[in-house]
Amino acid sequence: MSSLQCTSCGAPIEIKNRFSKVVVCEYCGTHHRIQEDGLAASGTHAKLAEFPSIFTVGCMGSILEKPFTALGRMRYKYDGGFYDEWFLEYDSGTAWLSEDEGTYTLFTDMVEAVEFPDPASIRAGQTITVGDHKVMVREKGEAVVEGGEGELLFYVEPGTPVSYIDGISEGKKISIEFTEDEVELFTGRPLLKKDITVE
Amino acid sequence: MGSDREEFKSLKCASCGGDIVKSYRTDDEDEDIPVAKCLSCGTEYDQHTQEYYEYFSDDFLFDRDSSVFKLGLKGTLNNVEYEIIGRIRYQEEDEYEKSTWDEWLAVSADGVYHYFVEEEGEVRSYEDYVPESIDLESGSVFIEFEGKKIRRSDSYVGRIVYAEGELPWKPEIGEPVTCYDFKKDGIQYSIEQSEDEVTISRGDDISYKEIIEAFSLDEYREGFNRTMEKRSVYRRKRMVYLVGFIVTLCLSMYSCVSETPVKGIMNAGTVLAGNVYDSAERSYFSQVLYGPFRVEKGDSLYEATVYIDEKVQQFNLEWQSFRMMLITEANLKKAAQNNMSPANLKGILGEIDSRKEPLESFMLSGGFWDEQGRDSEGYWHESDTVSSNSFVLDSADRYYAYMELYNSRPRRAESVKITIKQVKSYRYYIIVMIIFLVLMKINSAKARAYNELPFDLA
Repeated sequence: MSSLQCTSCGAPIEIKNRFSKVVVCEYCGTHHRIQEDGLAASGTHAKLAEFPSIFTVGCMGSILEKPFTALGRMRYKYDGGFYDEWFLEYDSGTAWLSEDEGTYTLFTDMVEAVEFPDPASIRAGQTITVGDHKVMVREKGEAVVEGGEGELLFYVEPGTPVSYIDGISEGKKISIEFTEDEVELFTGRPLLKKDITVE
Repeated sequence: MGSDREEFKSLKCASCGGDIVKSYRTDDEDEDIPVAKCLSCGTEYDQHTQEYYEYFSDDFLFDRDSSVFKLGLKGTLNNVEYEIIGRIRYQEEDEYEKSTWDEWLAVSADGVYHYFVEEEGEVRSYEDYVPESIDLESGSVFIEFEGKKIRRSDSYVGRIVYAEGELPWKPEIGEPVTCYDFKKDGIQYSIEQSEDEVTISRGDDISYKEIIEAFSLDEYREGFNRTMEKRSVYRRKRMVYLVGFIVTLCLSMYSCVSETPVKGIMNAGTVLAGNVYDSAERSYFSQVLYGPFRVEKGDSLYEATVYIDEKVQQFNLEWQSFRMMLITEANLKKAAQNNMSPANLKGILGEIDSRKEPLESFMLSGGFWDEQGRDSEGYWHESDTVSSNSFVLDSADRYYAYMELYNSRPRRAESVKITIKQVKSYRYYIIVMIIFLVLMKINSAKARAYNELPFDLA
């Protein structure tokens, strides 16, 4: 854990996880890239509006009887509302937990997809091949990054459009997010609220 | 073109902005199909278009309040608290008449969304399901779901006709969704595919009793109990009539097989006239008298059969007509003035039609034939050599059977045989059977349809 100061307001910032690449000042909302020699500000954005959630940044507990700490959150806005992705320290590693309309999905495996079909041609119901995975596309949509808080694994400027594909492969939920630069495939499992304990 | 055109709504044509009216068009099978038609450009919107549902959605909503659910309803089902927060009603696209179902969105205390689908008096609870494998493009005929092939032709299209409350997306009236409903390993699944999304869910049946208890719907409790009680009564009645039907079926079958033949008919036969050629009729005429033989029971149902015995003489490409009469011994003796010689009997019986009072107790007439020919399907050969009829014989007595035969060629009189058997009156059993069957059907229908509740109950 390392202690730094916000470049904007001087508030103390603690980096709890060595994999974090971005940290948001909880006082002034300034986004910082975490570099070897300190923090570099990337812009100040409005704090995320509070909505009822069992998680808060910094909360700890267990998921499927394995310990977690919620390090940070990214919020995405889309036509149907919004969804949050919680960056977790989980079971001696890291994981993402998606919270959308009261449903939770734990994504633990991430694959950078080298080959990916043309996103414009993909439609719901189609079966696509992503790397070694055959994925049935459940939903394809567009979202916009609203913002983030806490520590995050990667930095995406608020307001950035993100395309996403939700799918199913081999009994697992698949989340594919792609921007201009990269495509990432996450495999996850749905959780029930009873699978999560927050201290 | 149909002639019914009524002003429906002041909605505008998507093509030209003209006024839309309700109309009909006649399809290839002369059926009238409802359409929405533009008065200006003539564009027609049928049930395969989104516009149709914008114009006709009211037709599918007249019973929207007839549901066990309503917005805001709260309850605990299977230890999970739910609140009903939204509803979407769908209409099956291929049905012109109302064929709707409602999907009630509920949110649990956990914040998890859940659907209660109400259709045709049944409710199922659905939740999201992630299958081990699914491929909606596995072939042109089937889709694949966890190794199970489901025919594409089993799918149907639903169109949204109504939405209310809080919903996770903004539904549009007329929005289509392709649905697959199927069972696998005894579990109900549903796949709904729209342009933007595929949802897969697993369903469980829920009884209305559970719903009424879970959501404390006291206003329906009594009506439900009375309905169930009445249906139970109808089901019991149906069982009783079913038993009655089976019993009468068995009795009628028994009566068919438990026949008592009249014995000794053919034991003694006298040929009174044999193959006498009648030039006027161009046939050969024979008279034969059989008997006497005893008929044991009076006031009973009998069946007489006259037939050609081809072991005695072949019947080939010819015809034969007959009259067979049963005459009591007493009547015959009286008519013959006790002179039972063949010559006297021949004269008496030859004039039988001119008697003032009938001599016979029963008469059976008919004919036999054997023919062949050619038609478009080729050579054919058909024959009919048996004739039967049922009758009631008033009295047990000794009888003679008198036979007159007309043949196209000379034949041995003894080639025509007579049998008489006493049969049980199975026809009465059949009538009773039909009555039981009808009563069974009526009570079965009542057991399904009786309903004191304001919503459908399967």
